[in-house]
Amino acid sequence: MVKLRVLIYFVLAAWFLAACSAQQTPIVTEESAVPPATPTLLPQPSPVVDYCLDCHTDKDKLVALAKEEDAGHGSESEGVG
Amino acid sequence: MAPLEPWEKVFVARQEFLATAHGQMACTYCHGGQQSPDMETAHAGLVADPSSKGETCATCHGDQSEHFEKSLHVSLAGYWDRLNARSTPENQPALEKMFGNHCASCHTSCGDCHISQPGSVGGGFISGHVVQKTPSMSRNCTACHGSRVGNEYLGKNEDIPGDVHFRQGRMNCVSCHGGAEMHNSQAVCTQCHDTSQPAFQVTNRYSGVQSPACETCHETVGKAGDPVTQHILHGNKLACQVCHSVSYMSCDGCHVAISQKTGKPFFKTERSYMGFFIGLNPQPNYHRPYQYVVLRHVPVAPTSYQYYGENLLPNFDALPTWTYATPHNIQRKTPQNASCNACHGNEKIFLTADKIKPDELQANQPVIVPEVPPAIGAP
Repeated sequence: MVKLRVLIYFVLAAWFLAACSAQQTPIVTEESAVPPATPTLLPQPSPVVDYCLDCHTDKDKLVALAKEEDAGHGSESEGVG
Repeated sequence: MAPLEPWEKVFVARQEFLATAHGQMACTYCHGGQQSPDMETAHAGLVADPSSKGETCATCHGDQSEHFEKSLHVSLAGYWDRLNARSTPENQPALEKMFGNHCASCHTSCGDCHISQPGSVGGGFISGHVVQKTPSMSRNCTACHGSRVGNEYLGKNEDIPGDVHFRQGRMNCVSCHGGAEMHNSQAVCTQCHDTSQPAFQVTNRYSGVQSPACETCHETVGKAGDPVTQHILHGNKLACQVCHSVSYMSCDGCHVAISQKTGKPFFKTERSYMGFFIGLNPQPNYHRPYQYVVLRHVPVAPTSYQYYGENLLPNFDALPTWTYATPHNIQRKTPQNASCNACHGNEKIFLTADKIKPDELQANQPVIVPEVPPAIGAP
């Protein structure tokens, strides 16, 4: 009986130790064989408070701030361009 | 097209823009600058047109951007092709200065077609900064290509009907000139050729594959079963426009300078006039084997750039001033295709030496028709 207990403890201990040291063999799939993508600059989400949008969607503010541009290219041009 | 008010040029349509994929990104991602309630601070380091070099757009739109830089709309290679042929290397610095002041504004970025009106017509958002998948015909294409192509196509020249593709087909520019052509992403050449060779470099609009060619849609023209005998008879001897185009605009004597009053660049064109002239094809090639093409006078003159230096075009005679043209006013029935002898023997419509200015005779030798095809049935 004692021998049986020792045997059971021995088997359990062996099983426990084996479980602790087990390593999963990596499974090579087509997906994992692809090299990692080169990191790219990902678009950033809009900030919660977006000052750019707040101003550029406010017609009154833009009217007040927009400067009359100089007469552009072609102001003195004559004839068919 | 009425110019936009200064505020209107930079007004973002909040709801519409935020509902799009581009509206999910922070403004600073593309435009730089900083998040700040102070305008000066916010605009420090701002990039007004982040698409000018294509890199920003390429992050997501790689396919469209891959060959973008070699597109003639971006490279403006057509201008330099002509300038270099008529000039010499020592004039390069002066011509580069001239080009930067007068020609470079025709450079087209992604945003110039998909977000804003081109800078040459004052710029400004087309639709509250919402990215337009298809450019607007009037606010993008003909904003630049207006005085000749736009007016021809839309029938704005007095007594000359618009192009049949517009009048009857209601086709707009992109119906023929699609994204692949604009983005220079057509892979036709590279399927068979090493396009790094000089012979395959597209240096002007008539040096590469015809895109589009009329035959792309009119597949049966000139082939067995074509019911139009004239197509079979003339074959590849005539460009389609020789029979199917009508009177179009030519210009003379463009000169450029910088205004003493405003410091801004300007041009003056001596005159423009309507006419229709058939001449010889100056450079027949695999894609354009025609003997006869339609010719338009371009407004270059030996003194066009003299504001920037004397004799900047010493090889003026190296290229014709009457150039291969594809007027966009196609008609099924035209005066010259009414009968055989409406064209054959009709000296009025052929560019003969007597129609050329004496000081341009030498330059136009390659295109002058030495002898008008005789009338059919003439002795």
